[in-house]
Parts: sequence; C-alpha cells; structure tokens
Amino acid sequence: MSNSGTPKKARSLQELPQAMTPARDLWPGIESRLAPGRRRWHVPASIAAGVMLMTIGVLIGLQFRSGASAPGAQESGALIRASLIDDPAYQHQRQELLRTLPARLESLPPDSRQRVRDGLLAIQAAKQNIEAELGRDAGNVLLQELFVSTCQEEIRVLTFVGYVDDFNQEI
Amino acid sequence: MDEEQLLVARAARGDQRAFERLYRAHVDRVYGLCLRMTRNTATAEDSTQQAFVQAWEGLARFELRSAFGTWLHRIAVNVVLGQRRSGTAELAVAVAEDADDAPFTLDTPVEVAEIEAAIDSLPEGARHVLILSGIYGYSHVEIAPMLGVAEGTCKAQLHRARGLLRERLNIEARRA
Repeated sequence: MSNSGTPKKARSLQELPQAMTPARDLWPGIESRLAPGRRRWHVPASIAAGVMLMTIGVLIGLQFRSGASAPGAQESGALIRASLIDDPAYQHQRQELLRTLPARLESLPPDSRQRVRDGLLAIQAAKQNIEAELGRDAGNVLLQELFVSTCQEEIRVLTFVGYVDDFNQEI
Repeated sequence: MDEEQLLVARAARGDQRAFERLYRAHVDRVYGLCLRMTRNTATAEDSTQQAFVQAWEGLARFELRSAFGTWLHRIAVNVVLGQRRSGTAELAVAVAEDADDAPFTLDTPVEVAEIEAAIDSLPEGARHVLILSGIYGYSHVEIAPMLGVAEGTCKAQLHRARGLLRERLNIEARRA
C-alpha cells in the first residue's frame, strides 16, 4: 500500500503518512457528477430574491387566506418551521451575525452599505408577511417552506456582508 | 474568515472552481484514509470521488465554524462503511481499561512498509479504529460517531488492534 520508494522506519503510527496521492486525477470523475447548473450567487441577487420572496409571500398568503390546507399538512408544516426556529445552531449563528453586522457594514462603500440595508429590510418584511400569513394558516406547507428559504436567504446575506470588496461582484 | 472558509462559501454557492481548489487541497488525505480503510486502490478511488460528490451536495449544511477537513473525513468514512456495511461485524464489547488515547509507540524503529502491512492484516473494525486514532489523530469521541459504534466499542477495538499489531510486528521478540 505504501507509495514510498525508499525504505523508512518509524516508531509511532503518527509518523506514517496521512496523505497519499492517487495514481490518477480523480477530479474529472467528480466534476462530471456534480449537479449541473447550481446557481452562482451574487449578493444583489439575494437581495432581489428577498424582495421577490416578500412579493411571493404576500401573494401566496392572500391566495391561501381561506385557510384551506391539505389533511395532515398542519403537523408536517409546523415541524418544518419549528425545526428551524427552535434550532439552537441557527439561532446562535443568526445572533452572532447580527452582532457583528454593524462593523462589517462600516467596511462597505456607502452605496453598497445602503443596498445591503435595503435588502435586509426587504427580507425582514418578507419574513413578517409570511409569518403573518402563517398565523392565519399555520399548516400551509408551501408557506412554511417559503419561510424557511427566506430565513436561509437572510443568513446568506448576513454571512457575506463585508467579505467582498465590491458588493456587485460575485464572491 | 480564512481562505478555505471563503472557498467553502463560494463552493456552497455553486462555484465548481472553488470546490476544485478544495478538492486539490484535501484529496491526498481523503484518498489516504480511504486507501487505508479499503486496502484497494480502485475502491479507494471510487470512495474518494463519492466522498467529494457527497460533500458538494452537503455543502449547504456545513457550518463554517467546523474544520472542513474533518467534515470531509467523516463523509469519507461513511462512504467506505456504506460500501462495506454488510460484511462488518461489530466486536462484542468488553471495554479494556487500558485502552487509552496514548500514542502507540515502538521501542525499536520498524520499517514503515512492515508496519503498513501489519495494519493491513488487522481485522476490519480494529483496523479502522487504529487508522483513525493512531494515524489521523482522532479521539474516541470523534471516531465513535464516524464509525457508528459506541465509544466503549471504539476503545475495545483500539485495544484489540494494538495487541494484534504488537503480535504481528513481533515486538516482544525484537526486544529480546
């Protein structure tokens, strides 16, 4: 199994090599199996997505205001939302990102800073709209999923603020 | 956020070039682990590829605070075990009290190839624990969930592996 050419001695297992180079490049085989078309992410795109989610949230909320839900959906929907809201890791990550946000915002040019603020406000509004609709129809799975994806979008934006020089550039 | 974390973040957004850079940085250690666990180059290559594909698919769940290399190793171990699960029999456990985390050292240096061969000859469960503990430096607390066994089982396997390794390297005879 060893790929060493010269005999070496060791007194400890820790001296054995952890790394071994495969005989062929495995990357082409990996690359061909990666899901094609995964989106390339732009911060402004996420902000736009936040605005879009807000609109969709309102529209769907209005559409489902009648409260009609599929049988059994109430329980699964509640679980989806609870799994995120009650997740300590998510809460911790969000609080930590919010805590460091002001300093990271300060590192941005004024225009970018304003766009981030606007984007986060749009996402926040979308979350509130979706939550309001969920208050009327807690079992609507579509709304639950929309809420979760909006929360994820918020985390993405919060995560990358300050780690790009030009906020219009892909990170 | 260090360079690797940025690459992970970019890869999580679908940037395959960033993921390829992560692959280049980690492939040798992942392949080394797979090869040691499977003892077969073709299977190790396949496991390595599968591990990276699974990593790509699971990047959204990866927490940036964690070590990417450790996360990759966990996936690789899962892949290897998934391929061999049916033939694996867990050791009936009687936890050895002396199965501690202290490094396994030899009084006299032995040729690496000889040690490798002795490790290769160990029973699968014991070999896996010995590799993860002795060569890659993981603790029992880390190894147990990787292998899907109890911590006590992990300790017992390590104890057994060390005993067999000493026996196969004929260490007592070398001392004499």
